[in-house]
Amino acid sequence: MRIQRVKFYIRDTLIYCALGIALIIALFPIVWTLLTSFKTIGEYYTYPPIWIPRHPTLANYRYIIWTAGLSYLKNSLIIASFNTLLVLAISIPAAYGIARFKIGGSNLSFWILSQRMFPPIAVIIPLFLLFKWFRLIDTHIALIITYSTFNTAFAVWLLTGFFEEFPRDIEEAAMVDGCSRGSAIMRIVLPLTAPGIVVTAIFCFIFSWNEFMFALILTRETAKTVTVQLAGFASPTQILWGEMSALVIIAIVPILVMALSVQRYLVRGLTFGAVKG
Amino acid sequence: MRVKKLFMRYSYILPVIIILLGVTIFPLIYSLTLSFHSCDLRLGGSWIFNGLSNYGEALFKDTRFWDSLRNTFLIGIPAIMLEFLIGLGLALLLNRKIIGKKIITSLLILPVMMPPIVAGLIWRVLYHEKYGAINGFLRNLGINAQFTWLGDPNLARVAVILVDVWEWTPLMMMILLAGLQSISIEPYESAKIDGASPLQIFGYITLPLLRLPIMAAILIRLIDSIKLFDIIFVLTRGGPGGKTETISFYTYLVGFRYFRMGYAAALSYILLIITVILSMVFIRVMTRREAY
Repeated sequence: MRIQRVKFYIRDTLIYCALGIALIIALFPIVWTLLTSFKTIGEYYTYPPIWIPRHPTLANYRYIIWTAGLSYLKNSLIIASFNTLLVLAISIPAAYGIARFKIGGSNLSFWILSQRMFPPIAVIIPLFLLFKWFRLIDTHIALIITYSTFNTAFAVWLLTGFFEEFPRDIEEAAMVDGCSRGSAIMRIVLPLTAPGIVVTAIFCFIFSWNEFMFALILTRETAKTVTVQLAGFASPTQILWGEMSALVIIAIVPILVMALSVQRYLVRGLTFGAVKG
Repeated sequence: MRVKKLFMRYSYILPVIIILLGVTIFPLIYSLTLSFHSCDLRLGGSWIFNGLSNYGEALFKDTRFWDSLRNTFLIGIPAIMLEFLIGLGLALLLNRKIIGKKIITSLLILPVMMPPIVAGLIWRVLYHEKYGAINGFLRNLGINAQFTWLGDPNLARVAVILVDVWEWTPLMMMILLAGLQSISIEPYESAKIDGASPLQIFGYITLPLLRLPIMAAILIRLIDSIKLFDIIFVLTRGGPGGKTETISFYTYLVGFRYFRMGYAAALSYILLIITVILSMVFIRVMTRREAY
């Protein structure tokens, strides 16, 4: 019996060790970036590299806020917010229609799903030429529209799942009591499915915020997003690591907070609902 | 009356259909037409019909295209295999009674949600030959590490694979964990009563019941790996010597560095066909589940 218990202790210790190593590997790059963002140039270009900044400084953050400008963060915010609003405005009715009336059957749903799989490079070549034709290169509107290529399909897919889970009886009861379908949707369905809609909105926002290739090709300077600005730090010769790290931290903290708030739906969101999680 | 009702119903999906037609279907038709022309933006961008010669060039003459396709899979497949093995291991560990499970999971999934471009940048700093933390760490272990991770033709692909694994293993883990948690306890109990060993239980019960989540996860990652671009852009730009030039990156170069729009459109169509085939497999797998 005692041997059995010792065996359990050893097993548990091994499990926690393995998880501990996984945590260190997952978090180390992020922690290192956080530390680098407080280092001076002399400290991050030190041989051998040092862990903890000896003279922690906020100069990198000051540089980002005052010199490098917050305009790219602002562009990302504008584009991601308006794209999310646009996508929700068109996806909510569509998802409701698909969930309630089975419009188009499974073919339509799969067609919509397949939109999400397209390699972005296949869409960007024609879109680039079209936006060039309409003189919309380097405008917010070009990216707001372009991001709906992947977000609309995603939002319809996810929202359909949420609406299908919503018990039909409740809205039918409201309609028996004299609500029109429109007001049943506005007063009953939307308020009660709000958590699902918020989850969808957060995912759309994150996907827009994180996107890089479309932004690289469709913007120059005035509508440049933060991911393009970040990539600009990766020059072949010398990188301003401290300044870059500060911008990385500013750009990812809101995203990670949002991601943690939808953690429960992460699997469903990232697998297009294929795995419920 | 019936017509009106039908029209009402379709009006729900009309905006989405219009948007998707506008931003994907129309561009794809435009791009298909473009792929039968030569269109060089440096020469004014006029369209000159040249039939199938863009496709002919890609399939029969352009060795760089085939290399980039090879690179895509030489990076994608090892990365997905590692992601699967580590992800499955972590999922099995997290499927037990663990103290602080929620916090551990939350922290482990952080890499998945950050922009891929950021993952690339962070690792670029870590990989630095002299000032990077990885070589520094190896030196602390007593290894005289002077690895030029991103400049060495033999190491660059490994470096890209490691970043991909770092970023996407947690997703694999979450999918498999969700799958594990949906397995009911009964088959395990009866297997224990019959005296099955843990290895037998894993091989004969857990793995077969996990088949669908496993296939979903691998197919999703496979489709994603064809899109691999952001990490390459900041880490290696396809170098050294084209060893990490993926198909998406090469198509980007052809279109937006060499400005050969017609040829880029043809390349992107070949890419699209590969993706469509994989997606059809994915959808087939996912719909078969409903039969269970």
